Order: sequence, then C-alpha cells, then structure tokens
Amino acid sequence: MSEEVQRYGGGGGGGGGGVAALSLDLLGQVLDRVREPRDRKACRLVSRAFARAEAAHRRALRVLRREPLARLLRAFRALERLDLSACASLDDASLAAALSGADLAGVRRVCLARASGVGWRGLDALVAACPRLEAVDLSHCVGAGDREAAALAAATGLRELSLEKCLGVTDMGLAKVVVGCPRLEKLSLKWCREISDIGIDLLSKKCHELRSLDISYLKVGNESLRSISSLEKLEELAMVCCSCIDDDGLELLGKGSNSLQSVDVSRCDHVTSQGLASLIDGHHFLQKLNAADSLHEMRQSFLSNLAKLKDTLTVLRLDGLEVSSSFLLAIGGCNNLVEIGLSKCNGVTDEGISSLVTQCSHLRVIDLTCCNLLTNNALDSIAENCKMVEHLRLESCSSISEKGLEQIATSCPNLKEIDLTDCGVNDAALQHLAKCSELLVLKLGLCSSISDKGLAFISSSCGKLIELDLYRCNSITDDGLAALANGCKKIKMLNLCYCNKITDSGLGHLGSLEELTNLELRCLVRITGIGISSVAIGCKNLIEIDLKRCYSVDDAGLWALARYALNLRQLTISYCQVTGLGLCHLLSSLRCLQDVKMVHLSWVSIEGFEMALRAACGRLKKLKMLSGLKSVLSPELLQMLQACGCRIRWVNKPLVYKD
Amino acid sequence: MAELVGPRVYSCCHCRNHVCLHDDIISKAFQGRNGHAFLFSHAMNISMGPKEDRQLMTGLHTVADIYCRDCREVLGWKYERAFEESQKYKEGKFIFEKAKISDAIHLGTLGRK
Repeated sequence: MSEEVQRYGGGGGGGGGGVAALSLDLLGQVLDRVREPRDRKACRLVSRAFARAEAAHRRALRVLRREPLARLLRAFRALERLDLSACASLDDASLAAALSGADLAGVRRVCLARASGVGWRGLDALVAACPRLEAVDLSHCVGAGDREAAALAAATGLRELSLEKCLGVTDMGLAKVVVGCPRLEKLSLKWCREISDIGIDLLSKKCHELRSLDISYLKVGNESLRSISSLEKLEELAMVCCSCIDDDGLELLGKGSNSLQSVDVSRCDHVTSQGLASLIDGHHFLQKLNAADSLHEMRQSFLSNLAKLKDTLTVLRLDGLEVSSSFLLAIGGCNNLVEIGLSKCNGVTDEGISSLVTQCSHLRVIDLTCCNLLTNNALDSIAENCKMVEHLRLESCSSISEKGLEQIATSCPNLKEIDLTDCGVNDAALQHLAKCSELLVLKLGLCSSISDKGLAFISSSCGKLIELDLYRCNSITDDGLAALANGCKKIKMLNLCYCNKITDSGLGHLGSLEELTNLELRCLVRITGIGISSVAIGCKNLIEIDLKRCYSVDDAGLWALARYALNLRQLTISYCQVTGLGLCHLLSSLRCLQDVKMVHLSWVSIEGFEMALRAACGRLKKLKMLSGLKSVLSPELLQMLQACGCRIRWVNKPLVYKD
Repeated sequence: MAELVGPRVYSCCHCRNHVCLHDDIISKAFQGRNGHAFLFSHAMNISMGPKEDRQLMTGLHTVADIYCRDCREVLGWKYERAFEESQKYKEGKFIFEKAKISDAIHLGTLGRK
C-alpha cells in the first residue's frame, strides 16, 4: 500500500491523503462512473495518476485524427469499442501501422462508417489484430467491394455487420461473408444494388442465427422473400423501396417460419394491402409495421387481419394513404399502439383522430404531418387521452392555434419533440409550450409570427432544448438570440436560415452556446466576419455551418473559421464574398473539414480553386461546385481528388441573388 | 447514389406517379392552398384544368389547376399569366404543394435545402 502511495506522492496529488491513497484499480473504477465525456476529459487532466487510471479502464475510444492513432491504441488496453468514423484521412497504411503495435484483444466493436480511405488491406489488419471482433460498421464506404467483404469474412465471430452503401459489394462478396461468418445476427445490405436473389438465397441457407436483415433499395424480388422465409430466428426485416417485391412475395413471407416482429415495406411500389394482409395472417406477433408511402388504398382484408394484432402491434406507419374516420376507428382497435404515422394521409379529420386516440392511450409518437383538416379539436382529443405523448408532428396543420397547444402543454408533461413547421403559430403558443420543461426538439419553421417575445418564453423554462428550428422566422432579431443563449445552454442544432434581421451582435450571443454543433445561417445578409468570429471562438464543438448567401461574409469570416473552428467537418459558403486567398487558408488549416459546398464563389479565380483544393486533397470527401469549373480545373487535380475518395457534385445553377 | 437510381424525383403522394424533378425547383418559398409550396420549372404526368383568374397573395394571376394524370389528385397549379411586371417570371411555371408530393426514393426533409 505504501509503495502505491509513493508512486503518486511526487505527482499531482500533493502528497496528501484522500484520492492519492487509492490504488490504481480503485481509482479506475471510480473514474469509470464518470459518464460525461467532457468530465472524463477533465479527470484525465488532473494528474498522471488519474490519466493512467482512466487509460487502464477505458472501454470506448473515438479518434478524430490519424496522427495520434497509434499512440492512443497502445495507451488504452481495455478497449472494447473503437470509433474511427470521424478520423480524418485515415487510410490502410496508417490503420495497419497503428494496429500493429497495440494489444486489442478486447476490441469487439469497430465503426468505420464513411472511412473511405480504408480498404481491404486495412480491414485485413483489423481482423487480424482483433480476434474477438463482433461488430463492424462499414457503412457509406462507397468504394468498398467484394475484396473488402472477403477481408471481413475472416472475422469468424462476427455477429453484426453493416455494409450499407458499400456499393461495390456483389453476390460474390456476400457469399464470402456468409460462409466465413455463420454466426451473423444482424446484417445491413441497404443500397448494395449489385446483390441479387442468388446472394440472398445463400445468406438464408448459411446464416441461421440471423435476427435482423436490411435489404432496402435492392433490386431483389419475390424469390428472395422465399429464401428469407426460412430464417426461423428473423425478427426484423427492412425492405424499403424494393420495387421488385410484390404481394406474392409477402404471401411467401407470410407462410414462412420466421419470428417476425418488425417489417418495413415503405416505398414499395407494388405492395398492396392484400399482400400485407397475407403477411399478417402468418405472423400474429408483429409489433412494428411500416407501410408508409406504399399503399394506394385499403382493403377490408387488411383491416380484419390488423385486428389479429391488437395486442402486439406497437408501431404502425401508413403515410400517404387515403383514410376515413371509420378506418381510423378500426386502427384504434390496436390498443397498445405506441407510434402512429399518418403523414400526408388524405381524409384525416378531427373525428377520426378522436376515435383513434380514445382507444390508444399509450401513444408516444404521433405523426400528423400535412393533415391540414385537423383543428384544435384534434389536439384536445390527444391532450385528453394520450398523456404520455413524447413526439408530436403537426407540420402544415395550419388550422391549429395556441388554444389547442395550451391543452397539449398542460396535459402532456413528457413532450420531448414538437414539430409546428408551417402551422402559423404565434408567441402565445410558445408561452404555453414553455410549460413543457422536458422539451428537446422544437420546430417552428415558416412561422413568421414568432418573435423575440416567443423565444423569451421558451428560453425561460425549456432549459433542456437541444434542437431549435427557426427557418424563415423572419421576425426574430438579435434580442431573441440573446434570450436563447441565456436560457437554452444545451442547444446543439440551430436553424436561423432567412432570419434576415440578425446581425453580428446576435451571433455574438450564440458564442456562449458551448454545445452548438450544427448552425444554419442561410441568407443572413447582415452578418460579417465579426459575427462568424464570435461563433467560431465560442462554439468549440461546431462541426457544421451553412453560410450560403451570406453576401457580407468575406475572407475575414473564413480566417476566423480557419483559426478557431478546428472541429468543423461540413461547410457551405456558396455566394459568399470570399477570395482564393481566404479559401486556400481555410482548406489548408481545417484538418477535419470533409464536406464543402462552394457554388458561385465569384471572387475566387481558377488558380485560387486549384490551390485550395490541392491543399485539402487527401481530406475532402464531398464537394459541390459550379459545373463550369469542371472543364477549367486541371484534370490531374480532379483525378487526384477522386483517387482520394472525394465525390464531386457539379451543379448548373444560375447566378441569382435573393433576399 | 443519385447516379445509380437516376435524378431525384418527386411523386404524387397518393399514387406515386412521378411528377417533378428536384433539379427543376426554382423556389421553396411559396404558399399553396394549404401551406408550403414550391415553384418548379417543369412538370410531368399531369393534366391541366381550365384557366381561371385568381387573386393570389402576390396579385392577380391567370392559373390552371394541375392534376395527377393517374389519380386526379389536385397537386397545385400552373401560372399561365401574371398581370404585374414583377410576377412575370412565374409564367409557364408550376406550383406543387408540399402536402401533395413526396420524395420518390430518397428520404429527406422536403422543403429545406
């Protein structure tokens, strides 16, 4: 014991008793209970002892830059979860090198989402270094293909795999994976459009433990459903926008031996209520059914079968369907519904909603987007019956007003999210909504009657607010932002697009929002580099900023971002008054910047673009530029960008100034 | 993704008929009969109703309602003629109401970017 005390005696502890007397292991267990990442960071900085203890126990790591990766992997020996998705410019060589020196026997989950620089060599190294690998997320690595799949197939213990948007994966690569990883439980092949019925058939024959499968957007057909119907443990199946699947396929699925609990057939053009009826026929324990944007009309057979699910169904989405009040009454028979989706459904009336909610008091998520026949009466019914409601979406329900919202605010204390976009609500409504102290997400887009007064109400008591959307609320001024900065300190996402009264002074207030990550400021014509500086300096966690059409923002604004916004990943500066010098400095300074939209930068010369793009070549993943540049930028530069995994979107937009 | 499935297209939200393209959006700041609407330069698979003069928020216009060719759902209108000089740019263009169209393939917040 005295030896251990001696070890830290000279360190930061000051030689006193208390914490310095704890063994490394105990200290580590104490620090384990510190949850907030920022608090953990603070603990690490107390003393070397604290840093060592935390390092010895650390289980999850998210690396933002490639340079320290090797050192970090060696320092943390208890790692179980590794997130490299935000690691700028990670490539095979650096990944393999970093893995070689480290002891990663405990690593079970690795996330490489959007890590476009990582290929089969890096994955080979990963699988070799992590013998207990259970879950890999390779989603959005659009260049990944069969060779990458083959590398992952060597991880025999793999249980979860996401190949979403790995566009190069074909039946061959899938075959390697299913043969090499027979214990797969969760697999996503979303958007892997090279995969066919053959691949799905082999999958179904080999991976008997499969519980969750996503074949959304694939061109597979009914034969795939025949194969899938043999997967006895399958609980969750997503087939969004599978246009080759129709009622015959659903009937096959209905006759299968699955344990289906959740089915998503949204956007499936050729699915009708008949097919759904036969699906339900075979699966009386369905909990979640998503048929949004797929059905055209409703047959009685579906409704009668729906009644069979009255005890188990918790989630039902029927967006885009033509409904009637009697239909809603029938749906209400599923008393345990927790989520109902009726977005853009024709024929949703106060009467229908009332008959639905009086039977479904457990509803927590209610989506009534564009149900424009609804009035305050519907809100009254919801307030009276669904007191547990947490997410309420009323976009474009223009007939509701503050009276209905008063009822909601009074009766539903658990309200976490409310979407009132395009509802024409006013400050009085916000006065009532201020009662919802649990509110996390508030969307008020297109509500031009909202003023600083309304914001003041919200700021005074919705201290937990994380996301606020004030898109086109053009009565908001700097004073409203002052109130916001004072009362809603946890805000992460803020949309102030087209709130054109806002000036640098307002942005100055935003500088005190330390949690801010996403900021949209489109067409704020009065803001300049001064305001941008305040935001860049104060909002240290900023990862996305949209300055499209901020005509008064010039190089000074870019200098500020380059100097202070070191975590920035996504930037839009289309139509800003910047020059090649500012652009070049920005792109060479921000090491995490991956996505830049810069259409119509009229003051940037061709040389300016060349230099700026070359400076950031290895890091950029997405670019949006005017198509005229395609022929004047050097082909060598464009090739280099493509080779580094950057995708360029060329647009043909006329130069038009808006206000 | 866009390269694989073709241009970003919007469909009639009731029968999924393709009616307009994202690239043809001229403005997202319009008001339709029941709420938010967009101005498109082109439309497809629609049929037109009779021309009539209507007093809109921006003045007097000659418009013709547009219907989905398959299910006859009213999706918006076409500007045939504008009587004020400042509104002439709308002539020949189409208004689609947000509530009547949906993203055919991609998920996304319709009406933002």
